[in-house]
Amino acid sequence: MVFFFFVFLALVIILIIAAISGYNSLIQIRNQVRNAWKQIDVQLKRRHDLIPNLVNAVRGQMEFEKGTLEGVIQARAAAVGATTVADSMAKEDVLSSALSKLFAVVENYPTLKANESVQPLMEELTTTENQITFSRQFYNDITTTYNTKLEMFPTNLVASSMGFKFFPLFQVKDAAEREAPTVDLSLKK
Amino acid sequence: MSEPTLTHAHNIYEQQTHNRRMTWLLIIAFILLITVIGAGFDVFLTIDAPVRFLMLPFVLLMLGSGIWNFRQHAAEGLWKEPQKFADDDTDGENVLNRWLLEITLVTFLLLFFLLAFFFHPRPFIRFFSQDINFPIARYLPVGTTFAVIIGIVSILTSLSWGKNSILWSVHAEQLDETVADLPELLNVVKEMSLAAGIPPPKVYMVKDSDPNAFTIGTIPTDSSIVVTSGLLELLNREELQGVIAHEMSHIRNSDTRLMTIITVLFGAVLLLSEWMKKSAFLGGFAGSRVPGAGWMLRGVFFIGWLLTVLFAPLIARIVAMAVSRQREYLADAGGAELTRNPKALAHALIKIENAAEPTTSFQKGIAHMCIVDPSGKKLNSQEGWWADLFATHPPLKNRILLLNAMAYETIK
Repeated sequence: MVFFFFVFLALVIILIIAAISGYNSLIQIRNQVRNAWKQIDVQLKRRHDLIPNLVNAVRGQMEFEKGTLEGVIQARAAAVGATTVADSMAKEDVLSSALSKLFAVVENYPTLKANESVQPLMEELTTTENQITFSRQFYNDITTTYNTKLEMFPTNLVASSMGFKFFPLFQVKDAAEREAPTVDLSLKK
Repeated sequence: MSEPTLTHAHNIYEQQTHNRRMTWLLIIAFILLITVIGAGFDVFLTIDAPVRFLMLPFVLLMLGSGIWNFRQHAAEGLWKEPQKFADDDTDGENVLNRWLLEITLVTFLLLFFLLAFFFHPRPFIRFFSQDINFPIARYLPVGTTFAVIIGIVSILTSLSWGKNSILWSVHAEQLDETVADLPELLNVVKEMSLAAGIPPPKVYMVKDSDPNAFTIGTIPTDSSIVVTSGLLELLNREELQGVIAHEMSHIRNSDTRLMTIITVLFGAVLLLSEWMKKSAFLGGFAGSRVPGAGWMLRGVFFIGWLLTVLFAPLIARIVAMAVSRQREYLADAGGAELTRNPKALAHALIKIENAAEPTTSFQKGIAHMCIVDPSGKKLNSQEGWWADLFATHPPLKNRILLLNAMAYETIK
């Protein structure tokens, strides 16, 4: 009798410990998810600050590509002024595509590409674009881990009783961006 | 051993799970080895009065000298080149010291034994004799306990290994935001730390024309990445990103800490096997602790154990190297996960392989932390299972094969 009592006691203690550690790990990873989300904002802010410098550096030598520059400036202004999360996401995507257009243009002008003031700025912009991509990637990675935890036994019991919610993954909104570019390799003219 | 074929080529996640599982199996093998050595001692060696009497000073001395030489001994012993393994004991001063130690030991033991024999210091004899025949003293697994304790204690004490001495010894020069001439490297490191979700490590550069890189630091939040100037010249941005991602996933997986633990376990095995060899020699085979078993069976087991003890350093080295190779595969896959671009690292490895010459500024002790073996081309592309057994890194062609397979899995 005493033996069974102790077995029961041990089981209860094990269950309590499992519940506590499950809860704590969920809290930990949820805060990581939130931090990762904020990190994306930090990187976006960094890009907004950088763009005026870049535009000033290339403006003098890009009289012939005024339209591209204007596109970047407008897209930046729109992105800075975005209010809601969904709005901001859409406008940042526009800014990204405007910047990639600018990249392509600079690639086309070797003199511009080799310019001493433009070069470090291009590297800076490349890394900013990459940092945005990678912080989004990390957000998706950590969110996937978190969401998996919410679904897996035994943390799912803790999660459902404590009201933990799934976080959405970051995804490409624009249908055009998702489509792979079509390459026509046929030789007919 | 761990020869990759396309039958177990995985995507980036499966590959990492596989390598983690292999690492655990290898560590279990290590612990089994230590336990076997200890348990054999308990089973086969009686602790009769004179033997136990002999043991005490011996144990104390071995403990003292072992712990004294421990770090140096283990670190130097494990990461030497394989061909140097055969003549581990032939570097001058070291040999002299060890000989002196052995001679002192034997003299001390003889003196102790003679004293005991002629003067019969009563209290000692009573203490070490069978007079106090507690069953617990008779059946307590002294050897196993001792072996396990040595393993654990040495792991705990070794986790605070100095890394500054390594940085200093390779003449590394720290790069930071104020040094504007290498923005690309710093940016790439920043990008990868974002992708891994850990604070950016410190970046150091070594002036060496051979492309190589390594990482140190036992905790992810306080680590350093060291690259050679040759690496920066050779690789383009994307490939550099692949290499840095490989190093970053070493940091994320706490590989330096793991390899420190492995080094220490290797040291523990060396220590134990040496101790056991001597006790077996001095104490002799009595086997009174095994009730029942016939002498034939006992003899066979005893010889088996003795062989294990004799070959323990070799086995331990093979296991340690296998762990190191698993961690390399793991870091490759982890790096591919960070960049989502396994091809870039594969390209970088091909470039590095073609440019490989010995990285003269990295000495042998840190071979296991580099992206490719710093001793040059021969070791990285070596053929044959025997050479592979003692390599810190898997053959480059296997790594490239697996990375390409991951790239295929990603786009599939």
